[in-house]
Amino acid sequence: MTMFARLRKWLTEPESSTYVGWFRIVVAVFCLWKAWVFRMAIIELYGQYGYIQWAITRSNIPYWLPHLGNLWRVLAPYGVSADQTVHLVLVVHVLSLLAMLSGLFSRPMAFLAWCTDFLLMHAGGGLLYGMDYFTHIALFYCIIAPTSDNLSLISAIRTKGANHSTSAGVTRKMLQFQMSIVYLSSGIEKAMGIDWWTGESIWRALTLPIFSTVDVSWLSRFPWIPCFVGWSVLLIECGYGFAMYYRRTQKVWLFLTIGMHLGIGFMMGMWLFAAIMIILNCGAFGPECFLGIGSSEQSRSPAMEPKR
Amino acid sequence: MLTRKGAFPLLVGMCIVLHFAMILIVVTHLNEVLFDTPLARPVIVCSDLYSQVTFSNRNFGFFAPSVTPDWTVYIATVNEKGDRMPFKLKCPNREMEVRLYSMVGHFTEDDATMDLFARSWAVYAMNRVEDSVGAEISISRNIIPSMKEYRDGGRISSVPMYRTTFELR
Repeated sequence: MTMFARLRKWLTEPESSTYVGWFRIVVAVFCLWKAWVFRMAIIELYGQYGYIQWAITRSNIPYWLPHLGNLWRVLAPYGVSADQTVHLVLVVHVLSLLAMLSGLFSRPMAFLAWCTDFLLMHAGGGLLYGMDYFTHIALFYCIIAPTSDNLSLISAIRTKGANHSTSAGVTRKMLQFQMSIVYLSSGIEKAMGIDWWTGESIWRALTLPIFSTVDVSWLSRFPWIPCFVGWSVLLIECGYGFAMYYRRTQKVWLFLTIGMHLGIGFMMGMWLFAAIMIILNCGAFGPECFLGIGSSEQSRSPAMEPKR
Repeated sequence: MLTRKGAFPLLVGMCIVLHFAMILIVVTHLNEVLFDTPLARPVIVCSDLYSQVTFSNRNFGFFAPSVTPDWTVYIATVNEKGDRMPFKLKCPNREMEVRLYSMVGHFTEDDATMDLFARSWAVYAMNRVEDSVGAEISISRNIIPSMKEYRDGGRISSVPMYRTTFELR
């Protein structure tokens, strides 16, 4: 079998849509949690005269791409204010997430959630960070994956459910590849500076007033600890794309990666970022690592074959 | 001949290849290398657009090559008598603090962004303090000592970085 044929066989292998069903549920719960966390500062984040005004965020995207300001212009003749437009979009976003969670028209609802997320992200353009990007990416995968085939109201009503599908496998492998690119590029960019090798980046990250949740000043007397952590981060990120495709290392690497993100959550207080990264990791490689999916054929080494 | 049944997987395959091509163009910094090449311009425009819509092809090098410093934002409103009143940006929880850190990180990208963001904060503050006729914005940068400097007695210090005032006419 040629390399291309093997790659095609691996990519198009049908897979249970239960995993992408779970992924949809967890992503919806995460997005609802995120909306809850920022409920106290909605206008500050996304409002016309919030921390970053619409006039500024509007100028960052091409004129023909939609912005919350455009939507407000449409609604203004009906007496809807700019702040009410923000709340309206947020309500639609939450309702679409609830529908997505229950599995009612999952893909169209994921698309609606993705669209409203797009509007909110560009309205609050100056306040975005990695967590927002990865949330948007997760919603994107909920649109293209067959997320309503399992664990949904639709699948419960429908008598014939598509339990295995090629698209479930393809989308999950796309997510795997995307995560591999993300970690590899992040690892390489970190490795290009000296600070991750010497541990100074870890020291700075933990002592910056914004991220400092616990007093770690004692670390300065044991510089080998941040140095070791820095090297570990580089190893985990640079090795991710290789170790996650190798059966013997994928489980260990997934736990190391989850551990790294839990560490970010504990030490830097970035819990939303940690959570979305763990969700994406488990969504991409969880079935292989926890359920042994996709490893049944690979795990049969010649030595394990019955003697004839 | 390409049948309808055969065309769909081909179309999907092409979309997948395009998706990852867009990601790889950005993460490998090929977009920066090809930026001045006229022939590659349409590709760069498509890549930027894809990034603005899907956020899939971003530069994912967070905290790379090093951790950027953090900043402290001081805002004060000024009333007609000239009295200065400190104003704090609303920050109800930890996640919001991270967002503000990110916001000030974007603020330091270039001079034009600095002025626009400062103007935006001034408008926000003046909208919330009724008798204000002006606002003062100043940003200081927190310098973190290295581990060796910390052992030698160095501590976090603050250096003024940006200062501006706005007045209602």
